[in-house]
Amino acid sequence: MDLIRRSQSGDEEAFAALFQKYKNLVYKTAYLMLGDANEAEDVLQEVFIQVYKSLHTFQPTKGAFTTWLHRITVNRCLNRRRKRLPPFLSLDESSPSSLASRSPSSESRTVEEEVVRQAVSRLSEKQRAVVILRYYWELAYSEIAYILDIPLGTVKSRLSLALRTLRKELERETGDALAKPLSTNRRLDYEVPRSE
Amino acid sequence: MKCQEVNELLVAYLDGEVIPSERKMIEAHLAKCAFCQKEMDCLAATQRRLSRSLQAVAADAAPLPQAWARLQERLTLRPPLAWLERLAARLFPLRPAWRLTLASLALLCLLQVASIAFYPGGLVALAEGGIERIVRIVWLPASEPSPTSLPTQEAVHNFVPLPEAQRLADFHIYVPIYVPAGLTLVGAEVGGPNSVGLRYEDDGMVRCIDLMQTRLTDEGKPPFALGLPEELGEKVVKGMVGGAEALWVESWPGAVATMVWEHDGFAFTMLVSSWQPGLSVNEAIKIAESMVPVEAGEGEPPF
Repeated sequence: MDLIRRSQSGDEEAFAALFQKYKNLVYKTAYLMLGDANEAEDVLQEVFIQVYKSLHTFQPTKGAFTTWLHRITVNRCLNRRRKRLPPFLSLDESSPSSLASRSPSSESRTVEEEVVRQAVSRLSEKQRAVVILRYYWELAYSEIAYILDIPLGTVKSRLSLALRTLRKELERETGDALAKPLSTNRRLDYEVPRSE
Repeated sequence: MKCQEVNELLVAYLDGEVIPSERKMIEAHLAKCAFCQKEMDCLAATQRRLSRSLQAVAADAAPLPQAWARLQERLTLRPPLAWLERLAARLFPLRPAWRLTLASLALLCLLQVASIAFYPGGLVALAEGGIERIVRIVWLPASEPSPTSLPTQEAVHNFVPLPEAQRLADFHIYVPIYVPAGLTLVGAEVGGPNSVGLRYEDDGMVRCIDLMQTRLTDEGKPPFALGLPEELGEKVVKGMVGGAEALWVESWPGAVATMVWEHDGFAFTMLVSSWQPGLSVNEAIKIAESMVPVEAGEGEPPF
């Protein structure tokens, strides 16, 4: 809180420290939402430019700073109009903008991770947002509702629908009717075929 | 409660987000409905898989080291032009296409006159890159060049690998993303919890760069003084690096050049020994402006 207060007073060192402290929160959210490292970098920049300009509007009495930051980040991701391939599906290692060029190669991901990543990528952006906020950041439904500016009931229904969709996807992809965890977790030794 | 009603609440129930009365009714239903119990088990398994995979996907996801430098550039470079553009609009209302150029020239003339007045014996010129930099040139005498050896150094250097230096320093060590071709990092020298130096050398040990990072004092001053007495005729270029004032003692073959600047609560010095055509001012500024903090514990830097 001291960092935030000092940043609000124009302390540039405090703002720099604020950036270092929260950059991963913003980046990881954007990365999971958009599935592209370069786009996540852009969102990171855009979010902190907005933070820099509007930090004076943040009121600690109204909620946590991380909640406020999540709100800006998710809105930035949802507002991006750029036409792109479905996230997580571009596994072309030679593409400079692909995720693979700045992350472990597809060969190092497990089958399980690939299957789940692709299933998440097929969700709508709004469903993906609630899934990431709940199952990565483990936020409460009420906090998710505030971040997305939607009623609590909508959070519940979106998560319910998203989970059921994912369950069906995972059953189909892994051939496991009960969606049990995989008994083996072997690493790939060949490139995962891309979906067309 | 009917199966359909229970099903709609199962995800929220698993997440602990149902009210007590709903929880009671759901649990009562699950106790006697194998179908809904199985449905819940499937959803719970899906949640576990999802959480694990999202954690794995995001585990290595991190912004590039230069993200902060890039943000700084975007946050600090805009204002200087804005005031100049406003001035240009007032001075040259009839020539919008030439406003900025004419205003820049006018400002240049003004600065030239002012600098001659305030820096006796010096010349004023613009450094490449724009009107933001005001330079003052004082000449540094060249010493006898030696093609095979570096100047005698009295200090004994104890270089350690960068990760070890990072563990010993009480701050994030800054390292340059940009290093001129042929120079590689030899190691870091830890001068104390508030001071770290990096040494870059080329294969022949003829060229080297020493980058020193020292925390500013409580008064916001560097903990050293750079003496540049006019009477020695040292050549000093004064400019901006990372948004803060920098001094660069021009180098040429045989000379020792030093650049000093402040950034992010630290004072940096860059000492260059060059027996070849040495670093230009622009190269030095490129190195200085590419410096980013190495995050502790995040592995080897990419250089």
